[in-house]
Amino acid sequence: MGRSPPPLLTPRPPCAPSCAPCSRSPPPRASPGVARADDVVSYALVVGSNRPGPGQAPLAFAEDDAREVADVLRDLGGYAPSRVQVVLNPSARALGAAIDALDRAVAADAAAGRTARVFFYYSGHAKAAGLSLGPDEFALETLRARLFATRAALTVVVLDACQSGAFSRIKGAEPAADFSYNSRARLDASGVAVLASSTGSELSQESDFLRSSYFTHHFLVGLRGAADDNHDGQVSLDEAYRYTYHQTLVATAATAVGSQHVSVEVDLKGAGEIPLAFPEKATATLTLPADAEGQVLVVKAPARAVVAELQKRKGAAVQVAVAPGRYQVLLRTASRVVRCDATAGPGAAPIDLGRCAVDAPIASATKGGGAAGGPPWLISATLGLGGGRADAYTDRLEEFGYHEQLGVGTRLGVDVLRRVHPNVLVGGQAVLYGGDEWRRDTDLEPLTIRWNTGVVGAIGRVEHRVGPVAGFAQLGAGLAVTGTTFVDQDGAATDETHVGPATAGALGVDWIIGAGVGVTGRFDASYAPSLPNLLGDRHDTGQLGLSIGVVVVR
Amino acid sequence: MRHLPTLLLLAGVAVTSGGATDCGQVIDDRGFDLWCGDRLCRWNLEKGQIAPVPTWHEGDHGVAMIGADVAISQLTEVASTDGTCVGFDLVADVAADAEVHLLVDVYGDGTIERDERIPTSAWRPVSFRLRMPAFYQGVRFRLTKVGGHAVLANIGAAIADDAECVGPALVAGPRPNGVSCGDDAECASGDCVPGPLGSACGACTTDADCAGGDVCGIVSYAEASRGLWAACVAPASTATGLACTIDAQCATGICAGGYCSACRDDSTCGGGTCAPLHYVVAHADRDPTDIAGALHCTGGPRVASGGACLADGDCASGACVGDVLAMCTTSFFPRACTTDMECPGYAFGSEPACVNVGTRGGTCQ
Repeated sequence: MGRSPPPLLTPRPPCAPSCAPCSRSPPPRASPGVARADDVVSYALVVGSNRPGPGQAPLAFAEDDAREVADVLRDLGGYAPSRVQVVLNPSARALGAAIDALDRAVAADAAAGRTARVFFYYSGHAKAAGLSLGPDEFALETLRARLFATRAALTVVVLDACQSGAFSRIKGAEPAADFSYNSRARLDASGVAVLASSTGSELSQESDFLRSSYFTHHFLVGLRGAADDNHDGQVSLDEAYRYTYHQTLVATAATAVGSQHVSVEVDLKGAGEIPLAFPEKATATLTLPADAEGQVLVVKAPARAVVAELQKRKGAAVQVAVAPGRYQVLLRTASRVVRCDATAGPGAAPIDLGRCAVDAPIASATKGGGAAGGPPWLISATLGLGGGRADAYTDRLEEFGYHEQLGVGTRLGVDVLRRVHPNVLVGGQAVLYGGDEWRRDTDLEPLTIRWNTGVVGAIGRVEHRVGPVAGFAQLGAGLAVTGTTFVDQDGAATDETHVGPATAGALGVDWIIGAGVGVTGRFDASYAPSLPNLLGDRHDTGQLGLSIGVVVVR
Repeated sequence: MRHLPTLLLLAGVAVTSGGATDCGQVIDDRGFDLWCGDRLCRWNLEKGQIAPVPTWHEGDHGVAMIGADVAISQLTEVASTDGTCVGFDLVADVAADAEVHLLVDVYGDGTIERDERIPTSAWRPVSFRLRMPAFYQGVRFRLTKVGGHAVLANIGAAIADDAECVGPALVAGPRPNGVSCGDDAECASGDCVPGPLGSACGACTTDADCAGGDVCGIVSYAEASRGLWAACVAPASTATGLACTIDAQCATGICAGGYCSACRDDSTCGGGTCAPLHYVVAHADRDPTDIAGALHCTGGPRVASGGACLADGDCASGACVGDVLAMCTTSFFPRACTTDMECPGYAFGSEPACVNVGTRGGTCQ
């Protein structure tokens, strides 16, 4: 099974026509020299704004993303809670004031001989020339100048906004899958680094499923440990970038808005690696074992909030730092879904895949129709009741004095389908229609004709799956074989067989209850003009009816 | 099982029974399903040739009227007490060069009261609604064809709601003998004669009405639609076992219990008992009725050679010689018969049956 298609997106509304900010180069920075970690004071200014600017739509998760970033910085980034300032929904003046306060704090540290590190995060609307803060606009040029004017030895700017790459345009930054510089695990680098959620001409997108923007979600998952490529227990800036770049690109590749390339600008000096998070120091982690491979979804229970979605490769364990609590971890491979209930807390053991439930894969639920693919095979067996349609054949029977006996027919069907697309299945169907009987009284035994029809054909199904429930519509075509038995006035029976074309359609719902087994209900309509008489009439032996049954997915 | 000892007792039952339909159905074998060899069991082939042919299915047959001039008919017992609107339906496959007619003969006396042409049709249903006379007793339906291809199927006649019949009623002629009547003017013969089943048009009222030494006795119609009526018969010509009103018409000179009998009382039975011959009339909706027929000597083989008998067991010789005495077991009337068709089968919704009950005009050897 392929990767899930992206969920319904709330794209950051289109930014204003690109206008490269007339940004100046960062001002000369004070050389921090080589600083020990103990001498470094870390400040974070985290800004989130859902408010739209003129012509923009409100965002859903920008402020939530800001809160989440702040939490991760406090929990895993080594930022003292008092030095992480979260500013939500600010005006331009309020943002300016927050930067002023940050500048003063850094200046005070510098005066006291302490090295300062600044982390600035913004999630919200933006245009090519500035951040959109409701009716206000905060010019990127101004933001850049003021952030880089602080006396911080290292400034990391993370922007999650439309065309946020424009922040770095003056530097000619381009999206790149990788950037590296010689590093050691010391805070002996200085300068500026900018991660932007998109290039200067791209839109940034939110996901209703992730309840976050793609960029921030994957950035945070990376910081929680998924980006720790070298397994040294910390996530560096370059690791975070590489991870975020790839995951965001993959996740947005098939969206309606289009691919989103994380861009980067670095102007760093020194030889130090820049650690952004230390998942090894987390009090609670979930450890995915080395042999686990596939798409991993970490869901917080019982809220069912997606904490992390990542692609786990075989070979090394991956620790994902999370808040203490209960989680459900789903590991999906091409052929199955492993569902693990795990508790994250101090000293929690790695997840034991052997003790997890294994389901047939099911489509991950996404809002707005972007169904992830479901299990590759679907088999259903149904039993139902239906009625035939009046036509020239039955009219003829009535003219010859026959009367329908029951008026209700039975339907027994089996569908076998193979998924060829996340929402499309094709396969075969076998159906047996029965219960049709017409009778005319005579002075001896009644004349009776009854028939059953078997249909074999190919079917195609389109489904929309939301969690364990899938609504579907299907069409099919094939061959109908109708067997008739005519009993004459002496009680002698004559059997005949007729063949004709058949088409069928159905609308229904499958509900997978557990272990790949569920129930199904459907409305069926079939057309099978397979029963002729000697006078040139042909009866449609299909039915209109309702069926229920069992469905198995594998 | 009830026991009705005499023909006179039957009269009241018969008269009040009125017409005869099976749940409103007038015609026997409405689907042309009953074939006796190459002829229809319940239809009379008057001329030409017929054959069963497949209709919509190989197993459901219609009647192909083969040849240039073909006629089939069925005399039904339907009467005005059943209703005065009769619906006649069939499915017809009639070629343009064929002329098919439905003829309606009220009383079955040979007079055609309605002639309807069945149109050219390719297996389409055809319906007629016939407003019958205010009084009628028995109708013969005739289907005739001249010319080319014609197949008829699923024919049926049933009592319909009066509202379905529009137009004038059929006008029937004077009533033939055997038909119930109220006064002489209604009868073609001019005589409405009281009889064992009530008044019926008859041919005589006394012996004086008869010529050539005949006596005014009683006879029964060979087909089912009419009952008994007064008629001039030769003296001593009515065989033992048949209906009678006077001794003079019976071969034995004994008319007892409404039948020409072998004995009148025990005195002629040589120590045996003079008792009626019993047979059973079937009913669709209730228990069969035990009918008491002609009287004969019972209790052992006592009748000497040359004596009248109804069964071999009556005779000292063990042999009662004569014709077969067959009676309709489906009719209240003491109706002698020779074939099932003569019996009013649909009257009780059961199979018509003409069964042997004894020896007609029997004599001990």
